[in-house]
Amino acid sequence: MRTFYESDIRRRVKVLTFALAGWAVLVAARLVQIQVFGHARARAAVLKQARDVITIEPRRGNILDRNGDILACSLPAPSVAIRPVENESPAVTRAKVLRLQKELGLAAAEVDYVLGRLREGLNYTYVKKQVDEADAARVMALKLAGVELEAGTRRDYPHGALAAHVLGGMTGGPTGVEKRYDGVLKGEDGEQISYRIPGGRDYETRIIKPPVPGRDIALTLDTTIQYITEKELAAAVAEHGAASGTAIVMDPQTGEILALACVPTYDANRHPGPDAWLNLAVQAVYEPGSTFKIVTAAAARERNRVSYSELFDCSAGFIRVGGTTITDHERESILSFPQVLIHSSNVGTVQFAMRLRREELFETARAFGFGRRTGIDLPGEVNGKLRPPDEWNKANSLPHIAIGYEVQVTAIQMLRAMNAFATGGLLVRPHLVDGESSLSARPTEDGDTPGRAMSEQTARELVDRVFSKVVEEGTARLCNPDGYGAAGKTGTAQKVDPVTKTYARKYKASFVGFTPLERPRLSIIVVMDEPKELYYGGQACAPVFKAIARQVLRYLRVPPERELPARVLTAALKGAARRTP
Amino acid sequence: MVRRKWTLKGLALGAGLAAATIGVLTFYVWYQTESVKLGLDNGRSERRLRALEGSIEALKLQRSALLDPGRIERIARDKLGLIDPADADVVFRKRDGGH
Repeated sequence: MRTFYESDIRRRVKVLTFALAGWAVLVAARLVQIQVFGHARARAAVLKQARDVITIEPRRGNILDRNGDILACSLPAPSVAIRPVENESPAVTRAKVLRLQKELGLAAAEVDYVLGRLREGLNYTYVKKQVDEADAARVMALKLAGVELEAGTRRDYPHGALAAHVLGGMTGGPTGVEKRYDGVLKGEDGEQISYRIPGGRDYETRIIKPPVPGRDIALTLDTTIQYITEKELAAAVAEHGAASGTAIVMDPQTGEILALACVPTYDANRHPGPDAWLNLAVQAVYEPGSTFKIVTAAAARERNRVSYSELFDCSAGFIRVGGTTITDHERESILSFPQVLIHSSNVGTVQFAMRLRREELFETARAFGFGRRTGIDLPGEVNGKLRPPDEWNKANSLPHIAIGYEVQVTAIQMLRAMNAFATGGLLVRPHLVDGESSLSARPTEDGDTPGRAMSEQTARELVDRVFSKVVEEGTARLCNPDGYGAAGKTGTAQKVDPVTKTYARKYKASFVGFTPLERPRLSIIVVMDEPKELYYGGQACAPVFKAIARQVLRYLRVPPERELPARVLTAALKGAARRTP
Repeated sequence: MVRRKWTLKGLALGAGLAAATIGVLTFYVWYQTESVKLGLDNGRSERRLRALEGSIEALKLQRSALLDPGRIERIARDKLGLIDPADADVVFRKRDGGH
């Protein structure tokens, strides 16, 4: 029999059990209410409490040249940020910001901006972005409440202006290779979340998604060849008082761009000037003038409309076609087909070009890749302009196009066309990133497939009988690199005055060629805009070709094709295979 | 109310249970402390690694700037007084030693 005492205990235990069970049910119900029914609200509240989800910038990949030299690199450059601290007096906040001003060299306006945001209670304010690591360490050593660092990087171009038009830059958004390969270089953003530590004096950050660093890319550029090209081009542009100039050096067999220079240029570490950013090699078009005669000659020879022994009377110095008069730069005599091109006679060229149908010249020009992008891996490449034959003026477009007018090309298109003579008639796809396609039938961005521009026989004969002679005895006799054979074509085109819409006494001078003759190693184009006085392509641009070719061939240790007189023995260097394109 | 007397056996069992509980708790606290310590060490190492990687990148960049062809040419010409050899002064030797 239970005593009263025992019954009382049992009753109390029951009451307590029920109370505890009730309390547990209440707690469980509340948890269900908060976490199940109020999930979205609770999540928002947590995120709000967490204050910020901050994007972590990944390390951007490096850009290297073909020898592994760094052309662009990202260095750590943290940003200093500040958060409001609870129960902190405005005077203390102001003193803190003034201390930061002293350490980071902030302007008065920047201080006002930070203080304004703190007064408004805004969560996160950048005090200064991309500071030196030393400055960042000094600031953090002060242990100021609410002041923190956000990891970040700064893009650095150690060679400054070298290859600026290829690399582009990151100021004001990526341009150049930085833009073209942004997807590879940039990596993937990470995320970190910041929690306010109870008490409100400090924050704790936790990485919720680590950033994925970008990948490095190796360009086909060679820093030394780029330097030589830029130096010689800049000197020539200055010497001739030209408005601008561009030069490209390419490996004829692979299409690898070894150098691409534009003058005027800019420091890639800074924002380019209003006109300096334009990549004249791929984004600017011009009427090529006589360099386009390589297409006319190939079209005529491919269809056997002219023989090498045929003579043309150029003694008048002009020819009237379709109501226009086409003149030579100096009066010639009776010239053979090769001599017409060697001396760049417009009169002679028009005579054999008139044996072609419009469609035939158009087809050959298209086969050489004109009127469409080359597919070079640089942003903003333009098509140029090659109108279809039904849009040509029936009376005089053909002779005009035959001598390089009424057609607009880019320097890279012209170089690729000339390069077809160095490869036995094949077109290459110019490219800047190692490992891209070369002579293979890889389609361009337009879906076009580079292929054969002309037969191997036509290419070989025109080089042997015509374009090598242009350099030896013709309009480009100033450009033959000592000891090496070369082939090429000069061009001097009058420019159209944008106001009067007529041809003015302003010129676009150019030279495009390759060297050596046996197993060509370099294809080079030099274009100069409005050179003064010595404005012919053979005078302004051919010497630049020679200067670049001479130094680059020596740098690449290409032995001369011809013996040179005096000799001094120098040491041979091994292990330079990678430098040889 | 009858007060129950503690037996020696009961006391020993209680003491053993308490010791075991304290032991488990001590081990748990030690484990947690060590984990946190290792985490902190790991974090410090990672920060150091990142700093060193940053230093390597900075050094590479400095090397690249020092090897800038323009800078080398200026030093060669202006400070060392070097000039380009004439074309005829350069002889290309084949690997086997011939010309």
